[in-house]
Amino acid sequence: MTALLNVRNLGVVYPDGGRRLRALDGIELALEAGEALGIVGESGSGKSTLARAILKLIAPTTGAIEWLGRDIAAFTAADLTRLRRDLTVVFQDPVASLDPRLSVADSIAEPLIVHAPALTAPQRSRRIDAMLEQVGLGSGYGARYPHELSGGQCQRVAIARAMITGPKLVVCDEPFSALDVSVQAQIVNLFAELRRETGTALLVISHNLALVRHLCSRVMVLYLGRVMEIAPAEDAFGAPLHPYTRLLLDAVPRLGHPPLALEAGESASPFEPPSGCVFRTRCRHAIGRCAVERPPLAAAGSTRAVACLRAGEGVARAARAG
Amino acid sequence: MRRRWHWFERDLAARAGLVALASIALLALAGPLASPWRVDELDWARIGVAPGLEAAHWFGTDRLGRDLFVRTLAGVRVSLAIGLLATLVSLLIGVAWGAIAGYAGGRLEGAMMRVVDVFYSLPYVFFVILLTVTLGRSPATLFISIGAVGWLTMARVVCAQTESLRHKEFIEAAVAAGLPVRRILVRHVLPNLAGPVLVYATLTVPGVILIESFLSFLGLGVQEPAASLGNLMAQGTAEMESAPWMLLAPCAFLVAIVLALGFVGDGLRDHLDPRER
Amino acid sequence: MSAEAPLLAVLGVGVSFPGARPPVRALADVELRLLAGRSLGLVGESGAGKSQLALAIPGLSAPGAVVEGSIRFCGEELINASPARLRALRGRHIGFIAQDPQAALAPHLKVGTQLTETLRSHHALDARAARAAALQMLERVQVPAPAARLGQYPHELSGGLRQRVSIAIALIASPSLLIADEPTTALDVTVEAGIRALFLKLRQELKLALVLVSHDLAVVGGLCDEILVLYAGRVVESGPAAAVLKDPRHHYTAALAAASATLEAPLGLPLATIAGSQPAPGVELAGCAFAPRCPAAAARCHAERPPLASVAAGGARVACHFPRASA
Repeated sequence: MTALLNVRNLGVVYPDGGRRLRALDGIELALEAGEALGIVGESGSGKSTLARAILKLIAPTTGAIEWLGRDIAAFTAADLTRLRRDLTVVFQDPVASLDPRLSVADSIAEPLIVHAPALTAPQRSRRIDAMLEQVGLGSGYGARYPHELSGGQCQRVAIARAMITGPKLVVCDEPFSALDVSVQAQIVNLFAELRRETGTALLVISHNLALVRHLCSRVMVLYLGRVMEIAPAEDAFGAPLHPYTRLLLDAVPRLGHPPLALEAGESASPFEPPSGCVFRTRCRHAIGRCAVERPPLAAAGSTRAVACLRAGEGVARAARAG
Repeated sequence: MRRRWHWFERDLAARAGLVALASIALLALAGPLASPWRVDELDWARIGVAPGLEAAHWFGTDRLGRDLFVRTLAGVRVSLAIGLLATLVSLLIGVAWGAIAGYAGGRLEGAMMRVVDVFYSLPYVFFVILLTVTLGRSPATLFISIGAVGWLTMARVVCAQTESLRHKEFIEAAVAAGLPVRRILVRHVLPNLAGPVLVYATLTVPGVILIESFLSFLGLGVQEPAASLGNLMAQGTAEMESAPWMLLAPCAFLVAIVLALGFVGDGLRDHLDPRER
Repeated sequence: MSAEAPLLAVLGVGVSFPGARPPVRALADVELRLLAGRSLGLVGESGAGKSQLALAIPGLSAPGAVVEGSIRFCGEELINASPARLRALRGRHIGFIAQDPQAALAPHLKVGTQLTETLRSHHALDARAARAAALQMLERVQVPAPAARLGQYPHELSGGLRQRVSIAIALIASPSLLIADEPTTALDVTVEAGIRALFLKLRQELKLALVLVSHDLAVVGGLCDEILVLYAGRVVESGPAAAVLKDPRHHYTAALAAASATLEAPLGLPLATIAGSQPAPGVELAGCAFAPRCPAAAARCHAERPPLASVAAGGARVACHFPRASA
């Protein structure tokens, strides 16, 4: 069976003046239908670039992105229209992602007008009302405007717009970061429910590990444009194999624990990534070999893969004491 | 829609400006009907008389005995018409040019904006003289020559606005939803340009009126015996010492129009610029 | 404890915006006491008024805001104090750290200039002494290569370094109170963890009193002795942070804690949420503002606003007619 989405050796380089910023380097990823994959990492890790490449908003420099087994770079206009129906997006800032001059119903209608032009106006508005109910807003919200809604409500509208065409995959770029804690929980539950009801796959980019753990079955950890670790969410966060995953976990504030004194500093510059393993400059376990050899993304058991020369030694397992 | 106009009831200056503009336009259209005189009619009996009620020369007469009330209002009509039409021309060309350049980005934007730069660098008065000589003096030439230059700034404003809109998430969402470019431009870009464009247009009208006055003052614009605020002021300046009313009447109208438009423009900007709530 | 004079005493403070449409009461009847060297966390969701309170204390409320009540700092009344006096206090005794370090630093001035500016105007130090003090402060906030940083502009620094620099600026005049308004929201989790550890170290080293605004209960739990939970502009619960977070008595505090996803919670269940949303700004309810969303609300909750009352010996207070039973 072909995967829904296959990312093969994907590289994206942004020219920036005289310098070249390698935003993504050798990304490999396969996503099955109905799966929920989380992508985590600090800013500069390339997670948003990956989302934009998958959405074909930017072109890859090397490698390929395959949708149902076919390279999207070779898509015809008709293929692309179908792709836009099957692969939709929810952005970070719910208010900015809605046109301030369109009513809620008009915003949700936009994709339908392109992808289901045969629908009559009453059929369309019935589908919009049903969608509004499904995202927990109620059809009464159709006539409202984005500025009359709260951030959480705007995010529900954006989700309704992404789901109205019955997509196979929804890419969510930091869908929680602009929301309040209690609203984040509501939106996580909504995504989980929609996924259960419709079988839509999710690709969730977020820096909030706890929310990713709740929503996603698998997680991919990125650092400076490379995959550090990919594993079922429960394993990655319960028993990480890569020291970078461990660092991210240790950074999460926990009730009843004083903050840890993390000495791992900030992300290295993506303009001059370190030789060998890009994480070695911040890694407590780095040895001489790490500066020379680029660790391959190697299978660790049947469900996980990790790019660390010392993963076998279990260096990332122990949580840091407070 | 009613909500959109709510601010207007609060903004006193803008409201006063709009009322003033409406009254001036009404006066310019209906006023001459109340007067027994025509624009080019000479009253040999009363040459260069001061304003008064005598023979219905309410604003007095000029050196040829023509009624200044009627001539000033005719000038207001010409100025307003030129202001509105030339602004409309610059609006159409400027918005289309700027929106396409700004949305396309890259090389096309570079090329289109270089064209604007080239037009900018032409000496304006020289350009108008050239047009007048080749096309002959007529109000049409005046519209063309003002409109041909007026769209440049509009194109720049729109181009910059469109470029910043292009990176907004809701535009990206529209692209990701697979909407055709034309639909994105018409449905998402243009409506969101409306604020700044409308504001800039209200500020363009007085600018255009001033240019018209300036060109007519130089003798390049509206020609005798037709009247415009510009050529009335030119004649008025010549007679400033002996017949100051010849200068004062057109000046007062020009100042009133420019101020009123300025107030309306400011009001619109205050309302539209910091994101309508 | 009550015998000691507090460093900061806030009584009956309200902040309102009568000019807004509709008029908004952002904060009402806030009461708090902070002893020297202690730390207080202000917690709540957006719109709860936590930032309004943080801004009102040093007199930084937005134009158009009407601040009432009493704010005493070292016994001195700050409400209606002259702008010059407030400026002097802010320069020397009260440090303030804004949410966005990018916006808080002047982009056209070198880091060194911004650091020494305060010292030179408020302490009349000469250039050499001010530079030495600036260097020492950058070292204290753990900025690597401090000497080189003095000659750099803010845009040449990373987000985390910028926030460290703005902390250094806030601390350079050795204030006795530091107010930090969501100081880590704009930062990466790893950088945020570093800044939190720095706050802990600075508090121990400098005997600094801290008012920390945060939407994250775990952050406040890790850094603060006391906690003040705000909802819709009013204090719903206050007391020792550890006790309140371990055993919240107000239903809102408990619901907020339950809704915060953790790395330990069991999977497979929906996350706990709080139904509905906070009353819109400008809407004033007769009873408890949380009643429409509260699982334990009774008729009395909708009719009568509960006062903030003591519930435990440790100083915990809660504004609820039917507080949760102590665990």
